[in-house]
Amino acid sequence: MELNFEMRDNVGILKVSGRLDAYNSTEFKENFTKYTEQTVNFVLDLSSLDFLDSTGLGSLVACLKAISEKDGDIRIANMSEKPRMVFEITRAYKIFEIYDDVDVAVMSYEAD
Amino acid sequence: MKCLIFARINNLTWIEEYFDKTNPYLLKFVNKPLLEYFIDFCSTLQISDIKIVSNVATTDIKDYFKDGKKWGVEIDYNIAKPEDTLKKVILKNYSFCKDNDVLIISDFFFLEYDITLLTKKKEEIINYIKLNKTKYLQIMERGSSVKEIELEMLPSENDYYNVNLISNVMDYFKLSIDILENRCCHYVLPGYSSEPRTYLGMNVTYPKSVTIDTPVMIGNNVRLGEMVGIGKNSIIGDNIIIEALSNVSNSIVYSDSFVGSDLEIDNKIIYHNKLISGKTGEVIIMSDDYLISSISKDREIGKIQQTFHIIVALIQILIQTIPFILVSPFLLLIHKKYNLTQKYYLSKNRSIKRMFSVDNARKHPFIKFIKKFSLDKYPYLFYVISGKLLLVGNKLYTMTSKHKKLITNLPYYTPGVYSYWESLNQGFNSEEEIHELYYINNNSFWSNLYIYCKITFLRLFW
Repeated sequence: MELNFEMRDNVGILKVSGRLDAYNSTEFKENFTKYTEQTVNFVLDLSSLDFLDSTGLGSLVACLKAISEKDGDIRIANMSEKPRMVFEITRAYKIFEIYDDVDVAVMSYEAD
Repeated sequence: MKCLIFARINNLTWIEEYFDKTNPYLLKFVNKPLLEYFIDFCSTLQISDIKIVSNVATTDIKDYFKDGKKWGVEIDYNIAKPEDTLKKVILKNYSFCKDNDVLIISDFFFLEYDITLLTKKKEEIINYIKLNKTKYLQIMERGSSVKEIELEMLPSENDYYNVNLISNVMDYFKLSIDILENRCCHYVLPGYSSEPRTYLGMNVTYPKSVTIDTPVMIGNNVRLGEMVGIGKNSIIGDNIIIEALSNVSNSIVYSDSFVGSDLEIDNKIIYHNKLISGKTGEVIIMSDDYLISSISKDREIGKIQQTFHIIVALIQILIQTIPFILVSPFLLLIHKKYNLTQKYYLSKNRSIKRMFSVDNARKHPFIKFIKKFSLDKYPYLFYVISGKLLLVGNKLYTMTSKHKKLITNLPYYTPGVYSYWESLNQGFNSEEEIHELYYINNNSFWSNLYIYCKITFLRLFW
């Protein structure tokens, strides 16, 4: 798993590449916690995420719960087919805002 | 031009009431799902790039339409939150919408059209839709803002198409029969048509004594018994058995249904074990499987896999019997203090059984010791042999209101002695539903074997 973080318009864009699964979900949560020192609004760019399992998704949900307590949000953008299937079968689409474009996802925070 | 179909499920409880968990957009009108009429409409207007967005999982829609090549179009899918509005959905799919004119079809309705007219007056119809935006059908022109999306305007009468709002089962019945009787040439309907208003699917078997009147539509994999009468205006779905001497007329027999022998079905809808009046919507749920019932497609655990589960359980019993006998006096002692039993849900219909459980004493050093060698699993192995549990399956949930709700939400629940959730070794019980749904959709013979080995290994060395 590789994480690339950048700030744009006070929104943290976190690009997750590779795999997000049982082996690195803890690492993801730890890194995410560090980024929350800079912002509470995130866009996760999942265009390069090749594999997501229930543990990886569980870590995303845990991060969302934590950030929601600080009145923040995590929005998903550019999700590829395989992670999208996991979001569907586990009904995670009910709790995440899913956009097909990072820029629109960032702008959606302004619209709020 | 592209097309975005927002297959929103909102206030469609009547469909759930009559057709259970059928996705409303896959509800068949004359053996063809509603959404397929939309796709045909697009395809005829030479729109080849389609995105289907739904506020429920699109898995069943995706299974049916796949990439859309069968219809000569490219279909992509996305999901929205249950509460998302059309504007929000367009915003969430903006990169799809921004570079082209986009035909937007939204919500549940039947789109009436004549395919011959569509082919002839394509440009005219597109211009008409551009100028007459309605909440159900509109064109978002390239470069226009989401603010211009029409959310209120209702369609008016025109010469090109009609938006038919289906608000109850009677409307559904009337429209289906009407299409078959009067307007079947307006659409591309499934089946071979050797004579006008007769549609026959593949693998239809019937003896010479069967009588069939037109108009009629019979789907794929249908078996009709001796002396069966299929009267006019009958829509027989896919995977149907109609037993001898029964007569069906002016009726819909929905896919995957069984009709017993010597029955008179007139002005009815048969949906699995439901007998629905097409005129009044009255419904009778038949409990006698010999009259009408569903042709079940429930999850089947392969025979080989089941046998393998039993063999592994037997081997484990052989290995663990003596050690378990040796530790059982200590367990009895602990039981007096901690009560080593709990009530568990054994199936989705929530049959409950009180079973051995070390959960109450999991911190006890002796329990930690027997868990290391998986001896706490020993009593459950007999349930595997008797078929009440799988060796590897869903987590075996204790009887609590939270678990009751969770099990109800799962598509199926087949608990196992070992579970995917346990193999994660997370040490917490949050996101259980996510893990269970993930397991249900991804389990296989090999993944179950992996789970079994992983848990045994983890317990032994951690």
